[in-house]
Amino acid sequence: MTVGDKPNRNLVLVTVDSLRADHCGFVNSESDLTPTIDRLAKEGVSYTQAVAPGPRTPSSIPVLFTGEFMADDAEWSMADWQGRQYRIGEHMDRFQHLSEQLQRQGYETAAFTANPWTTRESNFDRGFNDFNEVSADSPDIDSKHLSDSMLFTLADAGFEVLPGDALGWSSKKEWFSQWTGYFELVQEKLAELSEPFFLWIFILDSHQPYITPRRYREESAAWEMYYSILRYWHGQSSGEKLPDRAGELIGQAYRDAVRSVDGFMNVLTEAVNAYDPVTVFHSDHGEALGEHGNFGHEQTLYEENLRVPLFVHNVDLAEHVNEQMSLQTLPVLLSELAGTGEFDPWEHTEPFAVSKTENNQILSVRTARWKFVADKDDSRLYDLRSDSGEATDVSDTHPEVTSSLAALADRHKATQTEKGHVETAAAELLAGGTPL
Amino acid sequence: MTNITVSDDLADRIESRIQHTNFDSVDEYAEFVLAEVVTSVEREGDDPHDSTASNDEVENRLKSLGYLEG
Repeated sequence: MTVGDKPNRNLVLVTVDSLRADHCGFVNSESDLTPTIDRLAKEGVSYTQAVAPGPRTPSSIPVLFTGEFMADDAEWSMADWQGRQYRIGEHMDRFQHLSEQLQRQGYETAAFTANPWTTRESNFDRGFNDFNEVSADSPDIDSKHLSDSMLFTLADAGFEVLPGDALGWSSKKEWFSQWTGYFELVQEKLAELSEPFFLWIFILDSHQPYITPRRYREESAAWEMYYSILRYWHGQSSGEKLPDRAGELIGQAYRDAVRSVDGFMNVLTEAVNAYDPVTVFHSDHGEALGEHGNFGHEQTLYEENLRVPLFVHNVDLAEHVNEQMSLQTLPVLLSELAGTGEFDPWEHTEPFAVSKTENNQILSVRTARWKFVADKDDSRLYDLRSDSGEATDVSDTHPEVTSSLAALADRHKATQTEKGHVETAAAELLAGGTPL
Repeated sequence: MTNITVSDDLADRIESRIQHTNFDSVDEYAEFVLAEVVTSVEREGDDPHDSTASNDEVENRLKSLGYLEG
């Protein structure tokens, strides 16, 4: 399939779970963790103000895969994982996916996803000719490909209690899905795909627990890495504040995980080079490392949660875009790239970006300088230029900014309400058997 | 791009519905409505997936990755 006389470009979409923007050197020049990512970003079009539509995978990936925010669910509860999964599935059923769009444009499509929210059960396989869930219980891949860690190998071999395993590692097989384990499967798939192809790879390596292969660990000894994981987990389950030293070790382990992500991009770039693809790289959301009292990715809309790295590589353009860009526009961006790979780097930047927590309880409207955050009972305004830590509510001293951004938030809600009416009408139309 | 013509009356009714929303034009609204309906029609009759993992397996994965309370 061609556009004019040029063949459609192969496309590779790399999604990294929980990778903070400020740990990538092309966004934060003080970070030296990601030399490959920085080189690729510099060679292509990089975005330093990319924003996720949500702070966790369930609030981010369904939006950036469809370009649409999710509807409210009156029955939603954090504890009801099946209900949460069902809701994602409903959303993915309602809208066209970027993979379906590309498949219709003549692409052969394949996916490797290690995140448990992006599975067949939640309808993420739509639009993929080949869909691979990467997990210990997956029907798609042999579990021996999940990790080369000795702990995992023993656990996977069925050792119920490992020697010296007082902490129960043998029951944590699902913590192991490092890219180094399954990368050869990606290579095998690449060799099978007909062109043009679209390959989506969603890696989990920078998602907690930060378990990083030895070759990429520069700061953490193995015991420090595992200790930090256990301290983190203990803090999560007990609600206890983490000791400062544990926080430092978690930061170390996270940085090593970021190094591993960079290693992945180095190896992947070599592997796909012969196919000359356009590569889009991004994370689904950020990660807290102690900011605002949080570790990991909680239901908050702070910068550490929402700012993400984003670049487009191999498009005959080298640009550094400092304007704001929401990942919600990814389906449109990929559709444009699917032609000849030509696109306008600034076309989808926008002065206002909306982000929401799962089930839309908290909403933010962000500009390059301001962030308005509203939940059911309260609203706040942060001046990101003078208060990058988002510590002080300045809504009283900047009422005009507050009211302008609150009006945009209301507009977003009104839009979602109208879309909800359309959904209901479409469902009634089909239930009545009315033909188009 | 393909143009679809609607009556002035329908266009006015749509204009009135979208005035406080982020729909920038009648075209954009009509595209959304048609996409919603066509996607629903296309999905109709699709078989739901057979579950590939047990509930316990999925719950363990989500809990281990910090997505569930407790």
